[in-house]
Amino acid sequence: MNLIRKLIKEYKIIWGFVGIMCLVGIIFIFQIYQIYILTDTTYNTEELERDNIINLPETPEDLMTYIISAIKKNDLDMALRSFAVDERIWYTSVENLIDQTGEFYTEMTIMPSSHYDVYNGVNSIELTDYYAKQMDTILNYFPDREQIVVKSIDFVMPDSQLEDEYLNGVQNLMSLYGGDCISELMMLLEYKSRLYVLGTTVAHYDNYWKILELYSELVGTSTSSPLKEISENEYETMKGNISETSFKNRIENLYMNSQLFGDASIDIEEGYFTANYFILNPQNEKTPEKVIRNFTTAFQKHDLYKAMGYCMQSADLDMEHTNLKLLNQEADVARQMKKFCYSLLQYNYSEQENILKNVRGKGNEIVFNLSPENFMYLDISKIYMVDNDENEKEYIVLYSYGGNHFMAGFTLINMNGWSIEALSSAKFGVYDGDVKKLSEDEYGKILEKFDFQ
Amino acid sequence: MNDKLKNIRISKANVNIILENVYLIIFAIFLGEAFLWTTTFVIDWPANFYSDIKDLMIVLIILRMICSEHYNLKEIILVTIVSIAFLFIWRRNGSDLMFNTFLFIIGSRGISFDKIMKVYVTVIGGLLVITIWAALTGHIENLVYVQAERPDRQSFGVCYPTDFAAHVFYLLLGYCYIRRKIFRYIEVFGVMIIGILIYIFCNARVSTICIFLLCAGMLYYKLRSQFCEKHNCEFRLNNIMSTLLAMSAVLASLFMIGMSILYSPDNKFYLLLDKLVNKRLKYGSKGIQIYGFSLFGQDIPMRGYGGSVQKEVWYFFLDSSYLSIVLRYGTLFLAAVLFIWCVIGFRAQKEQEWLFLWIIALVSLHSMIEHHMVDLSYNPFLWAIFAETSIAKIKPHFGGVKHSYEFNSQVDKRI
Repeated sequence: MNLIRKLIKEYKIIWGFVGIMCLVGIIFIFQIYQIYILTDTTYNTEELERDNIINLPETPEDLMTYIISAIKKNDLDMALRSFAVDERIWYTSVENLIDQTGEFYTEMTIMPSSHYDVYNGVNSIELTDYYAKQMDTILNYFPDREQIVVKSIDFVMPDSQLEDEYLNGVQNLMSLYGGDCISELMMLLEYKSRLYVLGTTVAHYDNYWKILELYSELVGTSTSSPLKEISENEYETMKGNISETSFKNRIENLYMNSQLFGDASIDIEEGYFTANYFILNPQNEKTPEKVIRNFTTAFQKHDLYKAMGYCMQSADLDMEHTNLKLLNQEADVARQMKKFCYSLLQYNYSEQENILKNVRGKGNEIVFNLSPENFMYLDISKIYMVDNDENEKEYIVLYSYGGNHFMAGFTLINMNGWSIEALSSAKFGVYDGDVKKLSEDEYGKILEKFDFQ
Repeated sequence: MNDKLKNIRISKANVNIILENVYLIIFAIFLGEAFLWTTTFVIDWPANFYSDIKDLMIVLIILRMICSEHYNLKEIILVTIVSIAFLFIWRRNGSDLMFNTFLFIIGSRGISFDKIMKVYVTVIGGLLVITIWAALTGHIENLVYVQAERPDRQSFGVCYPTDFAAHVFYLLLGYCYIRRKIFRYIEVFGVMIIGILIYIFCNARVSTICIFLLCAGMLYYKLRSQFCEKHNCEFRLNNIMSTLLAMSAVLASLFMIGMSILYSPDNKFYLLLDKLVNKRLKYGSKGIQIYGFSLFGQDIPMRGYGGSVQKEVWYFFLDSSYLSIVLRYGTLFLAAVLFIWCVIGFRAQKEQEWLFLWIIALVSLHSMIEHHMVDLSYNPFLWAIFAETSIAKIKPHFGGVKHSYEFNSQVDKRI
C-alpha cells in the first residue's frame, strides 16, 4: 500500500493512465452491451433449418420434377426455393423497365436492388410473397395433391421458341431480369382422371435453372390461371416437331453455351435447394418512443431488416413454420417500407399519378435518385402522440431530410412489448408507409399545435 | 577544391543546430500549407509537394537519430507507444493525418518547444493577417454566414467562422506560451479585446469563452507570481488542482463520450446538456449508434457547413474532438492522444509551468466542442511531448533567446 502511495506520488501520470483505462473500459463495456442486446433480424422456421441441401438443378426438367414434388408434398418452403428470388434481386434492371414501359410508380416493380444492396430485404419479401401466392393458386386446384401423376415434361412449342420474334422477346426479358437463357416448359399432369397442363417460364443463371414465372405465355396460362385442362392431342401439338435433343443443341449454339443443359440429378425429389427467402424476426421495445427511435436508427444504418422487424407482430402467426399468412404479413410490411423509402426520396407515386411525362429514357436518372446513400442523414425533429389507448398509441413523427420537413405516422401496439402495427396515422391522413413532405408553414403549424398545448 | 571540401569539419553540435533549423523550416512550410488549406485561397499546389515534404521529414528524422548522442528509457518507451499507435492506425485507416502528425512529433525530439512555438506563431500569425487582409479587400472570399436567431458571422478568409476563431484562439495560446514568463498586463488586455472582437464578428462562443478563460489564467498567474516574488515564497498550485488540469483531456473525453453514450432525446436533462454543448451530444450519440466504436477507426463521411455559405442539407459532423477521434480514428488512437496529452500535462506540472498547464486545460476544454485537437494547422501543443519544454534545460542557441529564472525575475521587476 505504501509502495502504491509512493508510486502515485512520484509518478502522478498514473492518474492519467487510470483515467484512460476507465475510458477504454467504458467503451469496451458499451460494445459488449451492444452485442448482448443485439437480436437477430431474421428468424428460422423449422423449414429453414433443413439440412438436406442439394445442388441447384442443372436441367430444367429436374426443376420441373422438383416443383411438382413440392406441390405433391404441399411444401411451400420446398417450392419457394425453386423460384428466382435472389436472381431477380440481383439482376432486375429497373432502369430498363422504366425506359421500356415509359412509366414509373411505386407498385410497378421491385426496388432497384441491383444497384443498392440496402433494398435486398424489401425485394426478397415482396418476391417471396409473389411466388407464394402463385403456389397457393396451384395448390387450390389440387386438394388431394398426392394423386397428381406427372405424365410428361417438355419444352413448349420448340419451333416457336426458335423464331426470331420469340428470341428477341427473350433477349428483352433477359435485359430486364438477367439470366443467360430463358425458355418455357410444360408438364402434363393427371389428376383424378383429368389432364392438366402446367406451363412455366424458366431462366438459366451461371450453371443452374430457376423458375421465373409459374405460367407460360406459349401455353396460354397466366398468374391468375396457371393451369389449363387439356387433352393429350392438344398437348402433343404443343410439343412441336423438333426433337428435344435438336432443340437443346440449337439453343446451346444460339447462346454459345454448351453447358446450358447439364446433368440430371438423382436425388432431386428427396433434397432441398438452398433457402432463398427469410422470415423477419419481430422486434419490440419497452416504450413506443424507443420503438420509433430504434426504427429510425435502423433506417439510418441501412438495416431495413431490423426496421421492418419492428413492424411485425407475431401474436396471431405461426412462427414455427413457413406459411402463406406469415409471408403475407411480411409482404405488407415490405410494401409499407418501400413506400416509406420512396416518399422520403420524393418518388412515391400511385399507378394513377405515375410520372408518364417523358419518363422514357430517364430510367437511369430515376434509379440514381432512388439511392439510399443519404438515409443516414434522416433526423427526428419531433415525436408527438396523437392518440392514446391502453395498448394502442398513434404518433406522428416530424423528420428532417435533405433540407426538407417530412411527417410520418406510426400506429403502435403493445403485445408483450411495443411494436409498429402500421406506418400510419389515421388522424393525420398518412397511411401505409406514406411520408408527407411539409412546407415551412405546415411544419410551423404542427409545432404550434403540439408545443404550445 | 576537393582538398578544401575534405578539410571542412562540422562539429556535432553544429550539425545538430543545422538539423534543428532544417526541421523548423520544414515545419514552417508544412504548417503554412496546412493552414492555407483551411482558407478560401485557391492555390494550385505543385504535384508531389505534400509527399516531398513528408519524405524530407523522414530523412531529417533519420539524420537526427544518427547524430543524437543518447536516448533515455522514457523516450524510447514513449516513441515506441506513439509509433505503434500512429503507424498501426495509419495502415488500417489510411488517413494521412496519422502519419503526418506522427512524423512531426517524432521529428521534434530535443528541439526547444519555445522555438517551435515561435515558428508556429510567426507562420500562423503572419498568414492569418494576410488572409484577413485578402478577405477584407476582396482578393479571396469572406464567407458570411447568416442564421436565424444569431448575428451574422464572418470567417475572414477562413472556411468557417468558428474555424477562424479557433485559429485565433490557438495563436493566442501560442503567443501566451512564448510570453509566459514576461507578459505584461497590456497584453492580457489585448487578448481580452481580441476575445470580444471574435464574439462580435464571428459569434464563436466556445473560442470566446476559452479566450476569456485564458485572460483570467494569465491575470491570476501574473498576480500570483508578483505576490510570491514580493513575499519571497514559491509559486505552487494546489496539488489536486494541478493534477486535474494535467489530466483535463482525459476528464473531458470521459464526459463527452460518457454523455454521448447515455444521451437520450426523451430525457430533459440530456436535452438541456446538449443545448449547452450545441448539439455535440446529439450527433455524437448518432455517430455511436450508427457506426459504433472500433479499435482502429473507420471511414465516416462528415459533411459540415464550412467552405460555402450554402446551407448543407446533408449535415453530419462530429464537432467534438474526442468523439471525432474515437469514432474515426479508433479507440487506440484516442488512448494514444490522451496519453500524449497526459505526459505533456504532468511534465508541465512537474516543471511547475502553471500557465502552460492552464493552456493544456483550455485546449482540452476547447476540444470538447471543437474538432481541432489533432489538426496540425491548429493545435501545436502535441509537439511538446518530445520537444524540450523545460526552461532549465533549454541552452542558449545561436540566434535563440536565453531563458532563466533570474532573467525572468528581472523582467517582472520592470513591469
